Amino acid sequence: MRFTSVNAAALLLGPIAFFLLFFFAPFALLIGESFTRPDGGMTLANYITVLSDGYYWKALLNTLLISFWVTVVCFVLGYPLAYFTVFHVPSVWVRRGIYVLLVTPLFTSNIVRAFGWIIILGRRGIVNTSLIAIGLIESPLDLLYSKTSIVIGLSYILLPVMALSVCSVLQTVDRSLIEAARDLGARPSRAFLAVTFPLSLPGVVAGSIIVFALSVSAYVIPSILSGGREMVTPILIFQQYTATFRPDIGAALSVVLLAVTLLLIGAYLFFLERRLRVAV
Amino acid sequence: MTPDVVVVDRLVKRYGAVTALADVSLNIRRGEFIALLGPSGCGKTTLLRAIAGFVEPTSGDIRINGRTMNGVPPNQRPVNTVFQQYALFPHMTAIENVAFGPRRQGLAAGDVESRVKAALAVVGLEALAARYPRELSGGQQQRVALARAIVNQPEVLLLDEPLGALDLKLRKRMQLELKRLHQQLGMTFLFVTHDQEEALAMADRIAVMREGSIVQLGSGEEIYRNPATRYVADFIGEANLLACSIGADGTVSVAADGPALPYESKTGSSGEVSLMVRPEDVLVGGAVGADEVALPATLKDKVFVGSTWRLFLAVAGGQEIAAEPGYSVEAERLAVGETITVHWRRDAARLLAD
Repeated sequence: MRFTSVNAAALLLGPIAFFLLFFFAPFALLIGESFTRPDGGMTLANYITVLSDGYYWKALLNTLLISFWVTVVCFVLGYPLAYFTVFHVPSVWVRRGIYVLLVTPLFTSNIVRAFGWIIILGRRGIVNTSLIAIGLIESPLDLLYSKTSIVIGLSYILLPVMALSVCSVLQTVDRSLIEAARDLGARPSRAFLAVTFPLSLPGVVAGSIIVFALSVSAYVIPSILSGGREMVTPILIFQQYTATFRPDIGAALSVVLLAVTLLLIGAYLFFLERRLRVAV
Repeated sequence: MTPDVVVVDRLVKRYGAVTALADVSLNIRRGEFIALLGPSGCGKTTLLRAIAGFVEPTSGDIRINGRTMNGVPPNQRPVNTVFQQYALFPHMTAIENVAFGPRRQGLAAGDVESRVKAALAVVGLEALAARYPRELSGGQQQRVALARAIVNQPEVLLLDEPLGALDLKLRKRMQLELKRLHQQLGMTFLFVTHDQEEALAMADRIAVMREGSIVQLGSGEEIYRNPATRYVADFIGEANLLACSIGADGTVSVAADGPALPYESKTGSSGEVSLMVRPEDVLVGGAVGADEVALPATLKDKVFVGSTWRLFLAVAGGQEIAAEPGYSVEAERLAVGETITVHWRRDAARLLAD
């Protein structure tokens, strides 16, 4: 098949049609919905409601805060894991095994994994019973149903994303660059900070963006691990469709969430590129 | 200061069943330009990397200025490497690349700046200092790599086939530049290459390597005129290698019942030896001098290569000799199939084993 613009267009037709039909069209409908009144007709009232109510803002800030911490935790845990896998595992089969181990949990339902954390963090869960058995605490700690437990649960789910993203970039780092740094007088830690880490940033950024976006839009984990005590915007949106029957408010909330997330990611990329002079 | 800046003492490097370096010993003199020459897999790069500190020896020692380097990591060794693919840091400008070494030494900012400027001036790259490696040509990148290494004033500059990625014309130019740089800096250079012409053009001494050992060490001229083995003779320059057999009485004759030759086998044993004679030493036709060896030969082919005729002749027994007698009337007139006498000065040829 020759590479002509006709052939290229034909090949792209399928994916483009898919995106138009299942992504852009529903999204356009959603945007349209956010501007309607319950009785039909156009209005800005939904946006006014969403943007002026302190309750909605609190939920949004909660969502962003949790997502920020999830991204940080995934980076702090995921980067060393990726680095170790790429640079300190000599056997290619062991490395592949690690990749499989990272990906396999993703085949399990999020709900099941969330309940797993309830078992671990609950008042009669593994953590509490172990700490009591050792004698570190007298009565069980309240570990569940807080921002912390949501962060733990989401980080657990999203860690493979960050780790694999960093792995793929670390593999492309030219080892002779690290040797050159050592040759020029850099200790191993200095070589890492001056050479390896800056060159791995595109992978860190890509991983961060995906993790952040997935955290912001997460529904299952926050629902299960919040115990009703913590509110995040996705749960709020879900309630508009199932409890309060205000799809127009739900649509407005969705658009606001998306806009804020895009703004934050855009700012992140902008400042990162300026500061680091590395194309990300 | 010890007279030899680097002493490689019975170095052995094994990777499992593979021996990369088999008991290598070498003394590198201060200020010399020495080349490690050999084909892929002969161990030359392994030896360079062992001196740089990237390869840990299985046994043996490397001493720089009398100080043993066993257990000393690369960043603490007083040597610097110019890598084959330059290994320039892509996220730093040329000037930042060159400043990397001095900064690691904890020098004051002013000192770093002056040293970096000086190094860039030596390689002629001050104008392009603010550019990133991707904005530089191959030759310019190579100069940055050079500047980055010499700015640290290392005891030995290690060059790992640095000219391999350049096109022929640029390579020849860089060979001369490196030689000039060596003379200007007075630094010891250790140069690894598989190109014998390059080694001959640049190095004071050449260590010819084969399968993990140094087969011969000497100046280019020494190695060219007195190759120690068939391998060296064949590797450096063009060589005719006439298979000879040694008779029971010690006489050497051209293989497969050819005529006897007035040479003595040193080992005295019977077996296979080769008589080496360079094509430019082989004369075709004309008077045979008293100190010369002569053989009848039949012309098989002749090629004009500009500066000389290249003649391919078969001697008794069927072996071929190549002759490059320069421009000669005889050579011009000779036709394929004709018989003529080939001759050479007796001491221009030597008997080689293996």
